[in-house]
Amino acid sequence: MAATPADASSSSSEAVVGGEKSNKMITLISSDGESFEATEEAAKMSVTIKHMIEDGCADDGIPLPNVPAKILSMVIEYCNKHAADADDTNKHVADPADADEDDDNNNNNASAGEKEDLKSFDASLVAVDQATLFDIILAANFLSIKGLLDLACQKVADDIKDKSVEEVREIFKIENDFTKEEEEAVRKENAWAFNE
Amino acid sequence: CEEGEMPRSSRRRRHPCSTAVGPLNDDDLLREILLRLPPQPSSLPRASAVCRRWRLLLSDPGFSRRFRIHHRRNPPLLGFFVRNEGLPFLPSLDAPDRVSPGRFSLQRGDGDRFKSLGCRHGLILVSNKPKNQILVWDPVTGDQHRLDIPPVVAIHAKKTTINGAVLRADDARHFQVVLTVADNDDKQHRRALACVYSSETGAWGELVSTQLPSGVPMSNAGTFVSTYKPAVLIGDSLYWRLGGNFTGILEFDLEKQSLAVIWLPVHILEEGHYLFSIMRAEGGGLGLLLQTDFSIELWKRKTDCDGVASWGLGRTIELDKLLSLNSEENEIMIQGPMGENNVVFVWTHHILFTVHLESLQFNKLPGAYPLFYYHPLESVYAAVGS
Repeated sequence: MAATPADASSSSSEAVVGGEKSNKMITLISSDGESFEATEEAAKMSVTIKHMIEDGCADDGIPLPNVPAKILSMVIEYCNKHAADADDTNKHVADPADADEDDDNNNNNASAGEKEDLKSFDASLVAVDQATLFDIILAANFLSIKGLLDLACQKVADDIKDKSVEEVREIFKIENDFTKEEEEAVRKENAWAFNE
Repeated sequence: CEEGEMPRSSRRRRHPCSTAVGPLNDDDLLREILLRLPPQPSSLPRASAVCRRWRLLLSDPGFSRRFRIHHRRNPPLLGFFVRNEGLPFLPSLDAPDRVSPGRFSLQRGDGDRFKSLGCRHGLILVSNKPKNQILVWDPVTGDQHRLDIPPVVAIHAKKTTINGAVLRADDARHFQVVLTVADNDDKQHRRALACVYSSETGAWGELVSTQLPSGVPMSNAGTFVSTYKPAVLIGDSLYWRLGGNFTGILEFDLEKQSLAVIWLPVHILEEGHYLFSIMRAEGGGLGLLLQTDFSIELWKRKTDCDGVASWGLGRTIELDKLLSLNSEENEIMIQGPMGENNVVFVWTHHILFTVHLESLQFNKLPGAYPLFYYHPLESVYAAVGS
């Protein structure tokens, strides 16, 4: 279900009895004032939002002052896609070390094709510029969406891993605050690791 | 924060004056990113050269532990320790992951005489006979634990070979050592003994024993736990070869803390096949790898519904065809299968191949390898300094 700007007067309906999935829509408001709608199920992929819903703070829409519209729409896209996939994505998430186990004893009965589909969706979601990627990480952290945080952090790690030390500094605008002696010592300690 | 939890209090540790971008300002989020670097040796050392803050973060022992746990299912093969007294290290990866041999060297003190017993989960178990000690060494961190062999085991260790195994607990914080030795004092009632050390308690457990069957009635020859090959971990049990008077397999169940003896397929002994290795069978459980010239046979031990065990032949792999070896010119030596992925090491004339048994994918390792017995070091390189 695509995220669409909602009518400002719409509000969520009555609270849902615990355990049932509802098709109730939740309104999320970005930092720049745009409203988005998402199903409660998708919205609850964010532990932060889940708690607010359970505390009854969601009735007039949930303001997210840290998340700009462009990022919020991507986040909602992720949640929509993944909420349909697994019941327990938030319970034990995306630890790549556990990936093999999860694939074997899936409780979501996703077919191989569906899993491939999800994988390529995830890959294209994070195939964005650094600034956007960083914003996704910040949003996923703020909203407590572990699967998205894992996905985005892994992408940054993948981007860094083959770069030289200078390239990493340049890309992330990091200042080299080592003294010349310190830097020499660091490189000398594990000289075999540097082939630049 | 622990593995599996969300980074907490991320706002507390922002660096508002830093020129760095977004999440890299936040220590917790930076950790989440760096944790996901590949477990290759060069990853953390290189990242630590970016700036002081990264170096500080990466040098933290808590981060090292998280990094090791995060990558525990696929530790890379860093190289091999040659199984002789100096334990020299031969790196097997290409630059920049080619760890220099000097990085992993074990210093010997006066009177030390080291014999390596095995390597698992990045830890090496070494026996030091003159001092009645064993040593657990983590080459990546440099940590060493010297342990006195308990007297009940030491009495027998003097007369025969002692073998053992080291393994890490799942949380990578603690390790266990299992020592095994044969007791041939009473020729009518030969026994195998085992004793377990836990780094969590810092103590040795109770002695465990089991009767050894008598093999060929050679009255003076004892049975011993062979050190020709290291222990094999399959599920929750460790396995060693027994040789001498009785040739068979010794099993130590880590859950039940009990020893048992397992008989080999009858024809192996009759036909004089001694070139066999214990391995994790395809699909799990106890298996054997039998080398016959240039082929290997994979056997599996099954138990039927009445609890009767028997051995059955699974696959036969023709290594000379797989690796395109000229069988007339070459002789091959096989070690393993070892490690998480049942990898067999095939040595032929200074060339070393790794063969992944399940997929039959093979890889020729860079470099030249003299003929020795090797311990492969599969470890997550979670260190920054040396």
